[in-house]
Amino acid sequence: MKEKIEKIISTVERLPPFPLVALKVVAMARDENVSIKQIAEIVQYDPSITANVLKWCNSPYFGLRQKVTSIKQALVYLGGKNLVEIVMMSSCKPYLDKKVVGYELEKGELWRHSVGCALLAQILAEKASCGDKKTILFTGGLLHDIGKLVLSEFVEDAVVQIKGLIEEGKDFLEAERKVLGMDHAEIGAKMAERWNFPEELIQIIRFHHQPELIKDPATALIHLADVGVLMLGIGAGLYGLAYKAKNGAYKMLGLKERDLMSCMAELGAQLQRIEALVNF
Amino acid sequence: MGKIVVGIADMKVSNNPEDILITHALGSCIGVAVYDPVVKVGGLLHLMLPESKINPQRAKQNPFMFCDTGVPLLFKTCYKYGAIKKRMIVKVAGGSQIMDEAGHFNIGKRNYATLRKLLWKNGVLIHAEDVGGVVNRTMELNIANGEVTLKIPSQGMKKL
Repeated sequence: MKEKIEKIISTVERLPPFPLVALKVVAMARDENVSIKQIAEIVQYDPSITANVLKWCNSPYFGLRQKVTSIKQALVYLGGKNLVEIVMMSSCKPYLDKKVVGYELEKGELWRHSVGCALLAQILAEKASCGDKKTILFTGGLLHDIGKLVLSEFVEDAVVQIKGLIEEGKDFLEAERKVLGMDHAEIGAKMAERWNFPEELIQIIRFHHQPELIKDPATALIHLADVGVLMLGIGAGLYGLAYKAKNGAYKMLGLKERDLMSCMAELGAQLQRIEALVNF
Repeated sequence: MGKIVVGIADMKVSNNPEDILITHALGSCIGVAVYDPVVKVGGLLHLMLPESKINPQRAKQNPFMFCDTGVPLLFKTCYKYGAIKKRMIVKVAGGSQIMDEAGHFNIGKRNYATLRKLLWKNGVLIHAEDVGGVVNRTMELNIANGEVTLKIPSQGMKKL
């Protein structure tokens, strides 16, 4: 088992770095003293990110009538919040848009799940009066399952054992731990640490299935959003509902099941836009 | 002509024998397939949530999102194509449950309970079903013969 864990961790150590500009934007967007203007400045000095961001700005998702040709213009037409989210999406998509064989996720499914989770977390935040957390929630929603990218090949090799444990009534996370010595949330947090993500984001990734251990509203929101999107079957994959949903997350946020259902209906109204984003 | 995808909170009805209606990834959502073998009219609904009172505004915009507004519309649309209630074969799949010991995440169960009650009240029987568990299901309805096929990760294909 020790050998297996070391092998998984060495995979993380060999990961290429996360795009620096995206990282700066994540870190800055949490800091209330940083203006959107400063973020725009960072972005516009990186030509490859700028080109990519402009492509996103002009995508059908935003439906702008006029073509945006500079970051400054993007800021005017789309606003700071959208711009930060575009930077995050354009940076995260190359990682998350892949086929994830171990979890039986076809190409695009993990990305769809991640975008869905990011949007549902923001909708839930409104309901729970946590609107100030929207940027970290968006990023957390996009990145909460990054651990699956690394763990996939190990899950694939051990899939018979994992399936057996789930058939016995264990949840997916427990099965990962039993068979691989590590679960996708923990390995995701290790990736986040290696990439120097802000602490708040590392916590979201590490505890998104166990929000009761951390008592952080943002993590609780991501937990509920993740559960909601899994129940909708969006990027659920192999035994996609074999995860424990935690009542403590509702309590921490002062929400009830009917609030989650109402927010899921809000997400349901955005599904076509999500498809436009995912297929872009 | 070919496969027609029914999205989440969506419905399609057809009387073209070349059509196959398909809906992907039913988790807690429920797929309701109805078919009249005499006129060869079939419909597939992918409902998300039990009752429209959860979010009346969204229910008004998209009645297919909820069981209590989507199912009546599924039947009524089939009637327009000549289907008759007493001939209709009803098959149901989905309603999976996320793991939850305390019983606070019951959307799958609620969807199924609401559907059963609604059909029972209207004197409609469920002919076959595959519901519950922690899996997600893809459901197909073949308009040529009314056959319903399910695909479940790690379990493969099966007829319902």
